[in-house]
Amino acid sequence: MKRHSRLAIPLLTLLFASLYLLTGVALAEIVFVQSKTAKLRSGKTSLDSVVADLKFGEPLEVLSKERSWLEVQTARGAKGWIFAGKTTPTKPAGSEDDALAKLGKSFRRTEAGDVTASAGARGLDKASEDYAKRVGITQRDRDAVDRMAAYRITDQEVEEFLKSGGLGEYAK
Amino acid sequence: MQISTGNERLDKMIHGGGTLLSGLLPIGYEEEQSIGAAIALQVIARYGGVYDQPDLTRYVNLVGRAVALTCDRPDIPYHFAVLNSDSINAFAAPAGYVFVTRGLVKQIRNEAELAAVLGHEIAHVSQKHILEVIQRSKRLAGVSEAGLAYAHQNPDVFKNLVDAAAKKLLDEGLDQDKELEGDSLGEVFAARVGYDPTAYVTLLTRLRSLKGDDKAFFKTHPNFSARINAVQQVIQTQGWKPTGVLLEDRFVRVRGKT
Repeated sequence: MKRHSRLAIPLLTLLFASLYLLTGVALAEIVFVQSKTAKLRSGKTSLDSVVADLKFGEPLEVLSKERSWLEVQTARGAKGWIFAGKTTPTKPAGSEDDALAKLGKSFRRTEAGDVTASAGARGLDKASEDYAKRVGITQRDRDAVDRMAAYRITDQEVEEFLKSGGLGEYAK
Repeated sequence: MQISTGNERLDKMIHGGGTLLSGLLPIGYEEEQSIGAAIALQVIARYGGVYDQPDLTRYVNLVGRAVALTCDRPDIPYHFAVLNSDSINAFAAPAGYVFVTRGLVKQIRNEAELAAVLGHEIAHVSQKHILEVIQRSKRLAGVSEAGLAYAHQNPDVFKNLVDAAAKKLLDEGLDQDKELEGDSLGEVFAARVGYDPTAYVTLLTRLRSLKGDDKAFFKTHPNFSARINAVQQVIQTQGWKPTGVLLEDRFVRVRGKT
């Protein structure tokens, strides 16, 4: 009997420790960054300092919630707050899809011996320029497509635009 | 923000569209850029050219870029332009070309409504709806599955594919389920940015009054009531309430006398 008691204490301790760990794991809520630009901040307002810039699709463990903000921890251990509107409970699929498309193209490019970099926007290329000539699109309209593709607005300018409009994490 | 609608199909649209299509489309981004630019040419040529008003162009690009940052495909560049046409319409071409007509801008009353319209078109790009049309029409163009990936290298095949896609987009309209998907996702994208989630319903209701329920943009488009119901379903499932974030002053100031 006495021997059983001596065994029971460490066994029960182990059992409770396991339950605690399992429960902790089960309760951990994971969200993913659902914006190309997202900032981890030291507090739950847009005025608080930026702890880290987060990547689209990056997983975050939710530590607590307050109004429109989530306190989270990144896989690298950084802790801070993110505006909840920039997260989603399900991993976004889009970026992986494009990565596959780009991988497929880079394979074909190698095969075709074409080494032209094509990551950015470029407007009309040979195929679309030839098409324009064949169907009689005017030079004015061709220039319009080139101007569209060349139009540049930085992520920082968008951030300033959101700020001046009091949108998202800049809501007043 | 919990983006789960309780509707499995809609959830897949919101979260898994890219994955659903990834096995279907052997079209790489470089081909998509060629096709997108060619379709953009057709849109511009048939809708009066681009309306050249620098402040409005910049504004529409800022709103569009803000919405695109929150979509499921934010890592490609998106380009926005206003078409010099009185008709009330909006279009998207592959690789991120998005257009809204001057006529539709006139009907829009605030930035939140514009964001939802652009969100709808961004959804057509992010979910690759037009590329799917091209995939389906490849037989008409005489292209095999493998040949589709090289279509931009063959002028005849390329022309057939672009003509077929432009016809579908500009003359017939995308399928009804794609339009409703665009409405649901456009609503979600704009709400993620922080715009009032009820703004899109207000705009669609105004357009229904203006054009009549059965006279939507295309013969294959769902009527406005079906589109309003789709957006209201998203709002209801999310439990979203009006927030008043419409930014009417900023919109009216830039739109001016358009």
